[in-house]
Amino acid sequence: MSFAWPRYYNLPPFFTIQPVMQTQKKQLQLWCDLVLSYTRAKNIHMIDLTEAEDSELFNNKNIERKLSRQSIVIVLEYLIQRGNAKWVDKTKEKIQIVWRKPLEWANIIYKWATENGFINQICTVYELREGDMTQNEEFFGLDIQVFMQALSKLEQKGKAKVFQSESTNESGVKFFA
Amino acid sequence: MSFFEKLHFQTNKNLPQLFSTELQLHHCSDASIGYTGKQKYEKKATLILTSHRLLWTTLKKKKVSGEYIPLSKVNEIQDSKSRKSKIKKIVFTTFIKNTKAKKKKSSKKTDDLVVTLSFKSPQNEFLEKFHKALKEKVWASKPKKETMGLLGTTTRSHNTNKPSLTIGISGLLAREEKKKIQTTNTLSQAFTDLDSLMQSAKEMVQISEKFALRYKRAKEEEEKEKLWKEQQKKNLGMGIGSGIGSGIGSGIGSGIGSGIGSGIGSGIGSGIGIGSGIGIGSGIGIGSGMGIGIPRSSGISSGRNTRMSSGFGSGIGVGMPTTNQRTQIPTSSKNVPNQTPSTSDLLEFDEILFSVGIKNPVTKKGVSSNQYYKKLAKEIATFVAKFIEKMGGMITVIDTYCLFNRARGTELISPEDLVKACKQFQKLGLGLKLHKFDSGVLVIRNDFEDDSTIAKKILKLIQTHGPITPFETAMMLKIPINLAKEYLLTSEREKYLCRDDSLDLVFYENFFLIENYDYEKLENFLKNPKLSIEKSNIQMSSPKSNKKQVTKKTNNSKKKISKKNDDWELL
Repeated sequence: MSFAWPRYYNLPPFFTIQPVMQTQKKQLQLWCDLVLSYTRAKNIHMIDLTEAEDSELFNNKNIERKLSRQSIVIVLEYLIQRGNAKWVDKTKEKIQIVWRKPLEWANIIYKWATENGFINQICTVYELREGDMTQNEEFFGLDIQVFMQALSKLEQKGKAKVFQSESTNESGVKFFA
Repeated sequence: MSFFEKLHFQTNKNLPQLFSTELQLHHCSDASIGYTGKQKYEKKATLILTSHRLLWTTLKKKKVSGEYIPLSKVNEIQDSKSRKSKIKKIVFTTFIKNTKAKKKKSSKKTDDLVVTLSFKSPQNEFLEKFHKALKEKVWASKPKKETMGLLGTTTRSHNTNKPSLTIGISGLLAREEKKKIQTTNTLSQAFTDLDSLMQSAKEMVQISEKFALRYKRAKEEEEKEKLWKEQQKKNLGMGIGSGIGSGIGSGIGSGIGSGIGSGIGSGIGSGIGIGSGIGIGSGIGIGSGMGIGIPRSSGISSGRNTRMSSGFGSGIGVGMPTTNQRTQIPTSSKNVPNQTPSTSDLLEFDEILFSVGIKNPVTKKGVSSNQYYKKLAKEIATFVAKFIEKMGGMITVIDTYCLFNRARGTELISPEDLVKACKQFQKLGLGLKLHKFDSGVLVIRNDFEDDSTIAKKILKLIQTHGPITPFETAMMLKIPINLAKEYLLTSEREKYLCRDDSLDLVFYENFFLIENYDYEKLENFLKNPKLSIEKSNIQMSSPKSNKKQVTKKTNNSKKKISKKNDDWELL
């Protein structure tokens, strides 16, 4: 599970928030990209600030450099601005990384559905998320909350309908054309 | 007009002749002086207040004339009614008898002359200084010179009158007395003979300038023919050493000479200096020698002094040549080291040169303050221009202050004066400007240089040497560390660099803002850690040996630590 670190990850200046505005802006962009690609690869959806300082994402032991707590917050705030994250609660201890917006997920799910002929058919959420059919799909193992958000987006668009099964307490979804 | 004494002027100048200890205190051009009485007298003149007198001069058809009142004859200044108001009139009583005045019943009982000074512009300062001058009574104190002179004369007469008592204890005592008196005499003469020394200093400067010319020519020739020419140059004499420093001298000389600084030694010094190396002149100088210390550009390495200080004065201190190293007959190339001695000699000579250079320092005497700052600015500009290129086009005001005052010797200027004069640079179009960095550091730099040129220079430096700290920059460019930091910050501001602040401050090339950055190069730099550049440079040894050590130690061929000039030439 070796993640391909970008080259700038191994350069010390990357771990100091630059004072010069233009440089800083670019640096934060690169950080955001890194955070998103890392969380995506490792399928992480939640970052706990207290643990973050030690995680290999923010702490490069090879070059003995890490982002300070303050700097991490700066990076995360930037992420939030971009819409790729949001604080879980007011205490700002945990942050939810949204490396793909629900809408994007919705489109992917719907695309899969059309490609595999599930239009006008019902699937369980379980099947979609963890079933055999979708093992190679991106949304395989997707966080349930995000998945449901995606489905609700589809519902809004009128391309699907979510309903609860009474007996099994499972959710199912029917795709429309 | 007849009440006042006539003022004497300096020959061929329209400046009044002042007494030796008289100092000009204030100067006012739009004034008029007068007194009332039977014969009213009023004259428009330029008024000058000195420590001894009150002078006024008028200019008629390019010819000046003037008169004065000695302050000893001034009785009392009448208090103006309200102190806060702008003073345009000063009235004072004198001890001069106004023989032509009418005796008024209402006025004072005496017939002393009452003088009125009136000004077009308010002159509160003048009044204050007038009060002060009257209070201090500088004219009343006996100047030291006269007492010394008196001492001299008395002792001389004393000597001639005395019968020679050479026998017995009294004889011994007499001899001791004689010796004491002689030494005091010579010392006092030495102190008062500063003028003649300054004259010698001028000659020194002329000689050194001659050498400077020769040196320049020599440098050109050197590049053409190596060995033979070097030999010649050495003999031309790098020997303006700290004359008395290595000598055994009594008096001022010995102390100052061996140190860093310009020593004007006039002790009874027998300077016996022996240069290190073969075939060097040894002169025995007796008499007034001139010590010129070797300045340090950035305040490091006192070690160099030991070599140069073996020059000294014979008469007026142009020392005999000292060569710091071998002076063998050039037979084979083996004898000649890689970095030729003459180059470093010349470099050092260069440094000495710019500490000797100011013949007629501008002083505040007899010059209005505006003019003074203008002249001072010009003087500073010419002085700084000599070496600003070597310093990389920029020199801190602090360094200028030190070097400039050292070159002046006497008549030192204050820091505020220096800054004020520097502010005039651009106005006077002297090719320099005073620049203040964000952190507050003041520098003098060339007109055409600005932030971007410096930034680019630093960028090139980083591209060749890899990531760099302010300390390393200072070492490599031979500039003070605060200036080095400013350079780096400037370059960062111009977005050429980015920083790593985690442990020490290190600057890298700004890979954030470069498309398709070549990471490989940087990674290489990081893999090969910098090998004790700092350590070798900290040592207090000669720059030559510094460079040798450094070149030995660094393994990475990419990091060639080149000569100080070369670094800037690269850029």
